[in-house]
Amino acid sequence: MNIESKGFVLHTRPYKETSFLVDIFSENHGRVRCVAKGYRRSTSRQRAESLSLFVPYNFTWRGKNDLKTLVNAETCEMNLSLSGERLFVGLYVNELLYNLLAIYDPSKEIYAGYFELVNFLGTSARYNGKLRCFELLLLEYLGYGLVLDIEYESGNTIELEKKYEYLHGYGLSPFESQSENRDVYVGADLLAIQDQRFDDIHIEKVARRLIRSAIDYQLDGKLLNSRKLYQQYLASTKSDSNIGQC
Amino acid sequence: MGLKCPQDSNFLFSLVFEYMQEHILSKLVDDLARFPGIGKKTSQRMAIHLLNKDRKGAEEISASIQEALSKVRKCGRCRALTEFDICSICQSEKRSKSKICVVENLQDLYAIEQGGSFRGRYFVLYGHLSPIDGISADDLGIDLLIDQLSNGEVQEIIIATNLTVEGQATAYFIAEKARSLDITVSRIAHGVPVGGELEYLDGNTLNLAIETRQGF
Ligand SMILES: [Zn+2]
Repeated sequence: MNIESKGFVLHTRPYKETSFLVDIFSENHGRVRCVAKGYRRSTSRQRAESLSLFVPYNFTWRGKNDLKTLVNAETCEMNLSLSGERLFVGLYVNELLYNLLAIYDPSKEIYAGYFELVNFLGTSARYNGKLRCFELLLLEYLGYGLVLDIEYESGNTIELEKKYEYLHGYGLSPFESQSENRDVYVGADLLAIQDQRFDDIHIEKVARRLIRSAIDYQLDGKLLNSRKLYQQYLASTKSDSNIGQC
Repeated sequence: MGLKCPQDSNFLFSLVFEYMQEHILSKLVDDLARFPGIGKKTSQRMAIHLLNKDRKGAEEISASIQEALSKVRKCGRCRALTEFDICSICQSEKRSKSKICVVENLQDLYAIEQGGSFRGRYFVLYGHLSPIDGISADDLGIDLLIDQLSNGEVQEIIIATNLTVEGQATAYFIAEKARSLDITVSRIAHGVPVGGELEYLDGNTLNLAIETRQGF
């Protein structure tokens, strides 16, 4: 039986002589892995509908096993293409989803967020805030949403002037001066992050630091290659040494 | 091993029990099947041909593989395969030292050479940037390329990576590095093939062809 869904390609990898292994992020079924048979053959008519990243498709696949067979992939809207810096941000988001989303675990919310973010990356250079919102959404979906208005142990509300540290898996804890060399956050910044006030450059920067540590915790020691690549890319485009939006 | 159906690629050997002892022959069949595009059926035919009909040819093949393995390696400048330290293209005095064309694979280099109009040098990446597969700029020798761009001889870099997203990312990455060294960067044109009819092209290709149109 054929299954249809909208979706994006997260990753393709050559498979046997003429095929691809395709990781799809679909609206109705979450991440799905398919074999796209014959898609690498240059004479194939299907080649014209080649599988691109960051392009919404109507996918059709079938199969009973975990590895499905891709039956059809049609682009469903105008083709957006990401360029330069934003292309590298796109690769970062794909690597995040590839590593953090389980297979066949659908989430319309994450799909909608990804769709919006990719569209945004295709049209606007000021993507930082949108990227932070998507990361927060993803953390929430994974069950590790950041709680930024109360201390996890006491339940006390966060005070504007006070300093806190974030213990991943738990929550905010008052910063004690004897704790060695930890990431420290000011109450007012935490509340601003909670309100997603990322137009403020300072807040966005603090959020980046906090979210990055939360994502690293989720990745459990795995390094994101796209993050390094993105920073290497920016290093050659900007003289500013304070770089890296991912 | 049970009885196999005739579609099984090892049918020829597994059918006859005694043949299962022929380890040397079956290893050769397995080894020949390493070539891209060669299945077990074809590798069986190749093995039989070499051992029955062309034993001298088989010896020559064996000797050339040995010699190539010990003497052919990547060119110190462009990474193409060569039996010299620096390949014949890089050494040639007829080649412009001011232009470097960057390709993903050696086959791409040969294809451009076949075209015959490019008279500069090359750089072969052997792949493209792919974070999820863990392929980084270092794996593609981009640091070696940047070193060469810094020597003052190169004025233009022509990027001929594939038009996949990863190929594009690789192009942007190299382009930014090159621009920061004040080198002219160009990308090969993409669009309508020579002799092609528009109605048979897909929408993406046509869009690109229109976006990157040239004065006429
Ligand atoms: Zn060379």
